[in-house]
Amino acid sequence: MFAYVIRRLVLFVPVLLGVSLIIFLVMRIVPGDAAYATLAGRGGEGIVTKEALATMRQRLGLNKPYPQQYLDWVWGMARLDFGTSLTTRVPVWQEVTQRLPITIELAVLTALIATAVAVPVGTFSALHQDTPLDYILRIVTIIGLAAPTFWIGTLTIMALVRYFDWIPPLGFSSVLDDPWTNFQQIIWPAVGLGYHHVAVIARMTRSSMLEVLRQEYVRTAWAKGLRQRMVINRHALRNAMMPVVTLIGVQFAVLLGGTVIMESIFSIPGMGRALIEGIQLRDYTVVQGCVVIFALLILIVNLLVDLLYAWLDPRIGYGTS
Amino acid sequence: MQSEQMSLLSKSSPPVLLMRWARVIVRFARAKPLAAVGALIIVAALVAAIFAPIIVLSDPLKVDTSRILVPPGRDAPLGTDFLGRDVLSRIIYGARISLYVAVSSIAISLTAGALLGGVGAYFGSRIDMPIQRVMDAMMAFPSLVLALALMASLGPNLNNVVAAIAIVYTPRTARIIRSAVLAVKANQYTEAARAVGCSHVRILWRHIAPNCVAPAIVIATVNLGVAISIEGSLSFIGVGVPPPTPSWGNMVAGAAIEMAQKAPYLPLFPGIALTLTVLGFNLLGDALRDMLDPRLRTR
Repeated sequence: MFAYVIRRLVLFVPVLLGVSLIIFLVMRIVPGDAAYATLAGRGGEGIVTKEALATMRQRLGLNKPYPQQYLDWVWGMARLDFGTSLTTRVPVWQEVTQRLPITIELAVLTALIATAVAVPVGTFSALHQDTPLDYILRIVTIIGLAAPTFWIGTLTIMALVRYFDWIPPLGFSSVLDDPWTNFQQIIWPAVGLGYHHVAVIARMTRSSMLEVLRQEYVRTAWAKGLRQRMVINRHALRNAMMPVVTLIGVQFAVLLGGTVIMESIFSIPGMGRALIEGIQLRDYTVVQGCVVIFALLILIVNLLVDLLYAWLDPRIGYGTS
Repeated sequence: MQSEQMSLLSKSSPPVLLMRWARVIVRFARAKPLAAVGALIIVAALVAAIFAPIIVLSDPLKVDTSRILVPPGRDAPLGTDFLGRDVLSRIIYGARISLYVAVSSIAISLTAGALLGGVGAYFGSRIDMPIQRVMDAMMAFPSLVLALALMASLGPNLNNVVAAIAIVYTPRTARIIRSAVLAVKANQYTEAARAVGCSHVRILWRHIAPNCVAPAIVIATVNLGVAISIEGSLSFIGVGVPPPTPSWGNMVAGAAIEMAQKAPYLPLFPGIALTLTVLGFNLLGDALRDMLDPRLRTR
């Protein structure tokens, strides 16, 4: 097991190199260049002189050849130096360490809420296949699959303002300082973001459960006279969970994309908000850094999902061979 | 029996043909009612997009300060916005933007995906390996994050949205086409074609491509819905289709708190239009998956 984890961690390196190369190239297709964009400002209203451009290029290291720029950047990241923000002059890594826990908190809370709702809903739907309630749940589910996060988020915030006299908080309290305030700030974006994922997970739970319920061992369990709870929880659900766990892992990437939207709607100072602010201010060191961190997060989640898989299904072993 | 049908077919005049088509559609609707609903939604959106200038009541860009925030009613079916523009007209024009972005970006990603995935799978690992590693790296990003980064670099405008979505969805398409080509390549008729001396191009075009159409159609249909959603998200954030061009995404954007107090219908209707259209593609895609490619049923 330990050797397996180490091997997977070593494999992160080439993928991260590829990821950083792609993002490096993407950031270099800017019309003009980053130095010009920084000086010209958002609407292009800044005055750009030749001297200023040259100094800015010097400062950003843009006067070096591309391969050199790329290697400098990667070597910096390897030492946790992601460069400094062009607008705030704060080191990007410092920004990341402050913001990443907030995004992870939002993502994990969303995943927990979504799973806690979706698995019972999907199981219920499967057990009551083709009843009116099953149809209602399925309709709610397919709408959840289609409704975009930014719309659900906007509707959530509007409903809160209109019906609960909710006022968006001015500052953000971290979970360590003030857990209750933090919970109040993060629960609604998590619920709004969760709807889509409830839909995805419940759908998979339902179809997986329907398949498992037809298996011989489930029939045997019923025949033994076990109580429903035993049959469902111990025999059916555990086996039906395999594809669901994989799906939750895959969905985590989508979920992280969703946190970007929710953070910007609910003014939560996480990674997604940093990314969007970076984009709006054309602060390309921040954008580069954030995107690489997002990719790293997904790699880690994929690894965790594989480990969880081995834990759920003892037939899968990573220690041997 | 066979010949009777043949003669009927050859004699059929236009009205008869129309009847036959009507019967085919009715049979499809009976067998897959949900897919029929989906297809209906898509057709409605297409009609709105194509005939937008004829359908709309007023110019979607016309600012009218005398009718700011008129609530939905007889005057403006879905109300007017902060600049007095008619919301319904803007939604109808928004269908144009959404479908244009979705169709063109998915067409590009399908072509690029088919070339990269198909050619890689056909010619084997020497070409396949490097392509797949690049695709792996591109898929390591959340799709919205990669699209955002691309838009940040390209700058907000309609065709850049198309380019960004096409780039994001190319690796996902390539992956599916690749596995389809690998499966077809293993068949004996491919080997037979090579044995009789067909060129690579001919084998790819005449023997492999036709057998990969089904998964391609399924993935394209589902991705059309996703592309509409991503376009909406980008425009909502403000890096997609720039205002004043109406897009379902940028219509939902705005001061949520002010809208909640003054005009909750403003973000409601464009969102419904977007959700319904995505729903249409999802329903149709699911049915096509069932009909064309049973292997893909569990995702």
